[in-house]
Amino acid sequence: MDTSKIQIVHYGHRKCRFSESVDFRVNGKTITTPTFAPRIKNDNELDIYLDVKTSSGAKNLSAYVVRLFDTKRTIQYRLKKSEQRNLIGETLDPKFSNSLKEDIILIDPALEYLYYYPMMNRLRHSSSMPRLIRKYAEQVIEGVESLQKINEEKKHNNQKTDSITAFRDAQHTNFWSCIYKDANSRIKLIRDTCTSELQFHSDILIPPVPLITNPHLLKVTFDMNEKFRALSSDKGECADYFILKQQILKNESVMDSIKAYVADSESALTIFKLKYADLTNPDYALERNAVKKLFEELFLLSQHTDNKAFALFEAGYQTFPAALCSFALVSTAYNLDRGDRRATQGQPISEYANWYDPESMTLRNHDVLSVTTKNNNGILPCYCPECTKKPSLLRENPIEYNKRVKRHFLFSREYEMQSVIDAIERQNVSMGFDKLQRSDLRILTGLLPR
Amino acid sequence: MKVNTPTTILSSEEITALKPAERETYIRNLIKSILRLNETGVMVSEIVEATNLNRITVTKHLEYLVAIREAYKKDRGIGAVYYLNGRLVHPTDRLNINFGNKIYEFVKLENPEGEFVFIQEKEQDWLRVTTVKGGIMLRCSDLREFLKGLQKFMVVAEQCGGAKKVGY
Repeated sequence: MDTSKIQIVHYGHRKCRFSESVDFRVNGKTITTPTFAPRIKNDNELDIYLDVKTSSGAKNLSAYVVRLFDTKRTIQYRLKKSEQRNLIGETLDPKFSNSLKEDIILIDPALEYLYYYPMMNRLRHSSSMPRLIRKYAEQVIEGVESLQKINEEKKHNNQKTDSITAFRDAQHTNFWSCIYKDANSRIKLIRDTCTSELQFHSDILIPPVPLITNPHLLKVTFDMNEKFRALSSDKGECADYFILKQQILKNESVMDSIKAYVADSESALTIFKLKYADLTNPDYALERNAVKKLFEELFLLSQHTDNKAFALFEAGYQTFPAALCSFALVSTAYNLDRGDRRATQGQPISEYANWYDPESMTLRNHDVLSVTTKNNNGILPCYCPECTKKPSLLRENPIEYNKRVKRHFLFSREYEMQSVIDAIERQNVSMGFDKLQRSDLRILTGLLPR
Repeated sequence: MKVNTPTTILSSEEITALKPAERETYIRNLIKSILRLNETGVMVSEIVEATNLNRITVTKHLEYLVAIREAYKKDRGIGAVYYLNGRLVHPTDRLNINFGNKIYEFVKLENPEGEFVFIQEKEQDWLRVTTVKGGIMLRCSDLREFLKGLQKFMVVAEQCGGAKKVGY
């Protein structure tokens, strides 16, 4: 038995209806599921995570996700520092060194950004990204710039302009078709991604797969998952990875193929990412139904297969329902994968981050939080260690406020995960259902199998 | 008889696209997984048929696996049948000793010839990927005798002075 391989230990008393809490072991690290894994994008966020972890010993906060293009400003420097010792042989960064031994690190190649334009510049300049990706990003940026110039000229001459979105779509599909056909590029992409992930101490190797926008890209995803496993399984545990666009959730044949693939796959961990999927919108009933069926199928699979676990990245509002549906790892960014401070309709960008309201399970902006606190006799409506120790959150300057909001977010999520485990142990997962029903996310109760 | 193979095997085009060292590692791991999937043993010709790899390449890797004790072979008529070396008797029958990037793994194994202690020398590279460098098999009944021999040798080595330098 290889210790680097994933082992999932089931316990009879830690199971209730569609929810289960298991022991998840990999690389000598053991976590109790469900575990919340924040997506960390810079050194500051990593510091907050390590602080919360060491100060509270939060055991349901034992993993984090870093996107490959964020590694340079997140863990690259910390890894170097953690290897250095002082004169008496102590490490210079004990918090991070301990975290390396205890926490599961997941390096996400995040290649869905090959489809979305805003991150292209970062992909182009990130040294940890595979060379092929950097080259692609450069080509797309140049292509879009020249298209914009042409469009400006056409506008000037009152001619019909070319669509930048169509250009981007075509480039994206073309790139992945080339990868699918050309063995050389495919191997290069797999090798470079795997090396980068290993270099940044990823405990589970995640394959570079495209955002599935059409059935052809699903085929490419299957191929990349299989080839990645064939090439990298000797280097570590390889997961299967599916990045789904919200619109594709409605495509039943795609969803059925994914379920069939997951059932037959050798991988112990399958990761799903529902990109920009806000299932709280009442119009997305079909998508919600598709996700519910997926959750049901995955739960059955985890029960009937010896060694299978699932993770959900960029879960956003779906974090709590996913944790309740036996997902071992649930990950989301501090802003629930939303540009929470993005300017709305011409208003300037707020310098205050949004505060996670554990009661409504949604984000509250600074103004709303001020009013709520005022109506609550000046007390923050939260009982987490961060909010109870220092209740003066609203008087903090924006930098300190944002830090504390993030700490509060981690405490709240940790508490939610613990409450799921408690509910399972008391054989009463309907407590989770009720919690969701009381919140602003009551529409997501439709995701839970009954 | 058709041998069991892993679900995904790289195409010859993909294998050609690998760097030479990667190619060697990939083929060795592929052969190892075929041995793992076929407990009743496999012959060179069967692996060649299942993988389309060159016969000489397959033989070279099988012989290497035998040399580092990851596999063993039995001569049968004109050919030889290769087996993966033993089954772990119990998951707890395992001990790791680390010296820097070198790991010595002690495992208690069982195969048709009896129970053995398998000592494997492994090495970790800069990416923390472990590779097997060598190994020895000792019959469990011979273990005490082997240790006595080792202790005798330590005394001899200490008298020579060489061992003192490394801190025995």
